[in-house]
Amino acid sequence: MINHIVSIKDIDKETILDIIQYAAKIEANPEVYAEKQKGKILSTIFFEPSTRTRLSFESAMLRLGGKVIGIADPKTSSLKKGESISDTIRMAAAYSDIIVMRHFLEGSGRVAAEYSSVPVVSGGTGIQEHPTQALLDLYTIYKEFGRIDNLTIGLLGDLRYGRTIPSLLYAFAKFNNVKIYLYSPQQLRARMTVLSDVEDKLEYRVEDNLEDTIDQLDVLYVTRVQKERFPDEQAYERVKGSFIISPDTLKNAKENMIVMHPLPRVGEIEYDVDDLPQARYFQQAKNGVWTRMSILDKLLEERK
Amino acid sequence: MSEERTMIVSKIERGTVIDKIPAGKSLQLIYMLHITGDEMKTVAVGIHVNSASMGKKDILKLTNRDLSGAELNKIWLIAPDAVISTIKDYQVSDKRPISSMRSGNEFEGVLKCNNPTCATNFNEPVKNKFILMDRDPLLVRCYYCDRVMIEDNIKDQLGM
Ligand SMILES: [Zn+2]
Repeated sequence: MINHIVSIKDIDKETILDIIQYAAKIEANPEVYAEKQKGKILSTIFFEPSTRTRLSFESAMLRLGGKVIGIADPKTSSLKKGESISDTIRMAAAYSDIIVMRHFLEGSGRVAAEYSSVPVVSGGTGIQEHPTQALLDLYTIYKEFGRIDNLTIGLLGDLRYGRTIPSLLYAFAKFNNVKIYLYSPQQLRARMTVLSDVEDKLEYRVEDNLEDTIDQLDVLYVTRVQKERFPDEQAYERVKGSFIISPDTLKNAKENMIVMHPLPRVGEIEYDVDDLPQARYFQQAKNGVWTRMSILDKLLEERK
Repeated sequence: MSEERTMIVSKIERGTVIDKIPAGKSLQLIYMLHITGDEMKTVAVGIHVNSASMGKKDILKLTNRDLSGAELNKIWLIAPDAVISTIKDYQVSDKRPISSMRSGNEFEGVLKCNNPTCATNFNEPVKNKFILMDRDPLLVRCYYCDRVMIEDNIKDQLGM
């Protein structure tokens, strides 16, 4: 196992499978784990607000019987006053048994891990990575197909600044024969440095048109295309429409294809899709709690 | 021995010899080590010297000069097969390939990350650390933020 989770790059395939298979065990019998980490404390340190990720981790720790302390509002806390990551983490490590941190700077996860005497789990580091989101996404896919190998996965939306995209690509690259189709506006294509990391291990294709290739996909993973990423409103409006999923978009999709989204959505998936058999994004959010229970429990047990 | 005869200065009393530098790279190294000629120390530079193992090579002899860990890293970036000799009282007191003086593909103390939103640029007590991806031209990656920097981006920092 590992001491911290700050990058998917640090985690091998066996550990990924171990985490998702353990998440499945927890989901099947949550009551067995209800007091597993009794007396342990999780610190949630969010230098950048994120209600969902924080709540998901808090729920996970409480369901393990542990307790949660945290700094949730960077505007009113010392985090805003320029306290360094290293000092904040040393303080949190003194108060708790495990730390979840989100930070708007890339590299913050590795700095935190270096200064922490307790396990650090990244809740997102700038545009660099969001490893636990990728792990819960893999759990969702694994639950559906019973495997990660031999699947064709479409990633759609903001592939450049979306912090989960590198984590997902690094994760898929560890499995066998995963094909990736990348759909995004030109200015939001996946970063070359990320693609060059996986190109030997993963077959990926930059695709312009979802309609022509959707029939090949097992998974369609949709992410938000944010207005702020475009130079002006018109540029955003021009591309926006091509990255919205409606029931019509899915008409040629395989029957057992699933649509995923890390949420929150802002119109990328129409509400009409929610009732279709392919929609998986709400279950995906729920899977986040099981996956994070698995991660927290494994890291805490490792230290015993 | 023929190499030695091509050198203008054959033996130094105290200092460092950097041997087996790729032919033509020694001037770059002189800049990178901030050897300006103002220090009143003798420096002998051999460029395109015949070498049994390399065909042609460069060699630097620096009198009264030691190398820091960061400087060793700089030399390793440019000349991974360099052999470093320490000279005391006209004798070689230590002679080792640079590859045995440091390990792995990671290096510290030479570069700062050029990603403005890298945590290492924000008053943290960490040492910058990079991973060498390619040498000619240089390609390095920040260990912390994953930013890749190409030779053109780091020339100024290295004094190249
Ligand atoms: Zn960096």
